[in-house]
Amino acid sequence: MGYTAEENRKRTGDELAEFLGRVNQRLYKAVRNLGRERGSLQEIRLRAERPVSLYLGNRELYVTEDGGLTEQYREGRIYEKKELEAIFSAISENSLYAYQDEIKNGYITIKGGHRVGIAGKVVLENGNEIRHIKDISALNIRVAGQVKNCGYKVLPYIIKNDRDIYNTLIVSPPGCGKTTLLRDLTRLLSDGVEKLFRGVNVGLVDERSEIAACYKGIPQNDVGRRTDVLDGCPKARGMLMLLRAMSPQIIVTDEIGGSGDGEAVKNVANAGVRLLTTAHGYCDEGWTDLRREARELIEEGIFQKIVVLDNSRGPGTVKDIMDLTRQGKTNRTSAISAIKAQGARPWNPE
Amino acid sequence: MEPRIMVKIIGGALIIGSCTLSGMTAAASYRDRVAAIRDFRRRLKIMADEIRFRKGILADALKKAGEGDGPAGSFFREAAVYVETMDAPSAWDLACDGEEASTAMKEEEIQAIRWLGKQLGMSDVEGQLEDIERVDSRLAMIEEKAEELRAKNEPLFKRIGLLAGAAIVILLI
Repeated sequence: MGYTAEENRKRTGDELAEFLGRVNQRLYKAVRNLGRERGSLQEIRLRAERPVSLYLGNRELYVTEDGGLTEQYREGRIYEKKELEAIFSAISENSLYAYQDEIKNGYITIKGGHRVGIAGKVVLENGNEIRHIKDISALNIRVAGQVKNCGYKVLPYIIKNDRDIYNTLIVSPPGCGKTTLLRDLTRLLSDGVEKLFRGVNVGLVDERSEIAACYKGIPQNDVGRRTDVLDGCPKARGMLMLLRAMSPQIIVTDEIGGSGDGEAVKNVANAGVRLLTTAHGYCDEGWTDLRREARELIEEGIFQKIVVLDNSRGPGTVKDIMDLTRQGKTNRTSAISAIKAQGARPWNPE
Repeated sequence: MEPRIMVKIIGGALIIGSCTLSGMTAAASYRDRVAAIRDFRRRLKIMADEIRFRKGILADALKKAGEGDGPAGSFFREAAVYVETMDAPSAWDLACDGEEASTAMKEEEIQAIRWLGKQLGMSDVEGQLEDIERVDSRLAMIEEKAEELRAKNEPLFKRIGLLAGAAIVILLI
């Protein structure tokens, strides 16, 4: 049944420590010094002329001169801008140019699927197009956190039969676990679940490299054995490319709502390919908080199931599952009460 | 034949042979220098193409540039190994030190190559290509001068070796 959330975090913490060993010995020591707490490591924040902070849930620790850890800001070892640049250079394998497109987006994905956010001086060209980020002043290494099996409880409500699913939209405000759920559902639909669903070919458009977290083309997260990933590709174009080239049974993508997404989604639906995607929003009766494109798609009847998440019991709380296969756009069936009856819990109750 | 004459002939032949060899070696250094610069520029172009089209990491670009036989191949292969464990400028510098010690390249071209190390991997694709282009232009000028020297000196040293050997033998006789 895979790893628990805690086991998963411990494993990724170990992998990150190994990676840091090649980047900066002091940071490596600091992460090793976390011991069993490595599993709770969420972020490493490096800022020029300030100490490095390690975030573990609600705790913030600072790295000392010898790689130790302290809660006292003043005992933290100050990192110079040069050191920060050297660390960033090592993170990008001495090849900033190779990560140029990712740097333009403000982050790079490293081995293990961890993401390094970048802040510094943005260099523009042609008026407002980002060319590069120079004078790096802050880095945020965000530890990857794949939560396997968090989609099990939702899966039965989005499958039509053992080979087909309903077009499904996952809706929630930011930070409620949309992408985490999407990633796990992708894996389950691709691998299949015994007695429930046979695995099918899944096409994944991972525009921001968040779902599969590809590193040199290889998904660092488990997105299933039958999943083809189009990494870093704009959603609308990617969906059509997959449709034409890879003949998937399901297309998965994150955060629809941009210009052109609606047309691409309709093309996918018209081609008989199922769609599993997410949208930012607070779900009310009139869908007023959803982006226009996503709202129009719901109103046009493209989606048959809508999974609503919130943060009420921690990220990943399933608030509602709406069934739009019948008349009425917000005909909430007994699905959610069935889930509640099973004692559905958020997968990350922290 | 008398042993004395025999010794003189053998001695004379040895002197002429060794002087010719010295001349050939001196001539070869001019030829090898041109060949090394030319090979280095060819490999630099491979590296630039790797950066331009594949946008692969520097270690892979260096490995690709180091493939196949040629006088400058070892430079790129060594740099590819070094860059796995240290920053790009240090790796490039170390490879330059090795090149200085082991090949036909002279200080002038080594300095031009060494300059590239300071910029390597530190900018976007356009920046990297500009830097490589700059070094390549500098190397092209050095190659042109080295070729002129080779055209002038290579046949000269070959002949000087032989003639010097013959002159020494005549003087000794």
